[in-house]
Amino acid sequence: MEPTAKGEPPVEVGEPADGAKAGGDFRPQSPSAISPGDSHRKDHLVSDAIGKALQAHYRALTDAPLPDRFRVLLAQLEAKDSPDDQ
Amino acid sequence: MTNDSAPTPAKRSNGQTQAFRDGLVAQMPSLRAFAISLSGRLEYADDLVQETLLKAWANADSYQPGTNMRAWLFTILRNTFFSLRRQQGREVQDTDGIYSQHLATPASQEGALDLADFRAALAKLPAEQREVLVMVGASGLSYEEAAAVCNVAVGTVKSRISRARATLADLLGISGPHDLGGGSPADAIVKRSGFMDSSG
Repeated sequence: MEPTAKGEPPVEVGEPADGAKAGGDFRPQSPSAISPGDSHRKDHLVSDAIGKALQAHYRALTDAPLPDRFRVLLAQLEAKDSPDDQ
Repeated sequence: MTNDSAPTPAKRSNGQTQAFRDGLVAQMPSLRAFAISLSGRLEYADDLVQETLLKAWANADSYQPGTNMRAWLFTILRNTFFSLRRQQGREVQDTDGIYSQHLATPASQEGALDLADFRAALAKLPAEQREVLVMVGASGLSYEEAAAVCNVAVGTVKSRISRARATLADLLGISGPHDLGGGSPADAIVKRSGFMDSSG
């Protein structure tokens, strides 16, 4: 999982969030592409930080309660659709 | 836009209607999260979701059971968003106070970018970049699915995401060579985002 070039400290900002595999890694890189101290490693860290923030942003939104209007709307659509209504 | 009130075709069975309805309900949180992310405005986002649900219901026959309903709904929503934006000439959106007035911001975890900062930066991206970033990076769509939703090539999705990331890194101040250089990267990110003032 971690890039394992010799003597390289693990590239790690934190544990992968649960949704990370769904697309948190915007730029899949082969382990060998990440060498110590170069810009690839920095890109990786920046990408990881942004990926986590993006998921936190999204999760906060999906966790928010839904407005009642959507439930009401669906009920109306269903009622309109029912055979007796024709 | 013209036939919101058109009845769904009668040939759908009750079971199919139920499954479709359940699918819509299950996708609502994601649909709304996508709408808010895309439009940046809560009330407008809810109008977009409502419009999307109406269109989805009226065009239920064009949904292929077994395919990704989330992607199908995102397609409807983003097409609605961009077509309204063209009609209204709404190119520039108000990015001040976006999200923040109505939505509680959970406390940031240690080492994470501040969510309010992140949202402010996200809102400054072009909508074409923001939508693919959110779809692939948060809502679980594949590059291919996002490409189909936006009706562009997969390579276009990838380059938009790449540009979006670079812009975000700039806006958040984590793109400079020294920003992640010394000390723990998490510390650098936290410091740059102004999340904690513990530089003593």
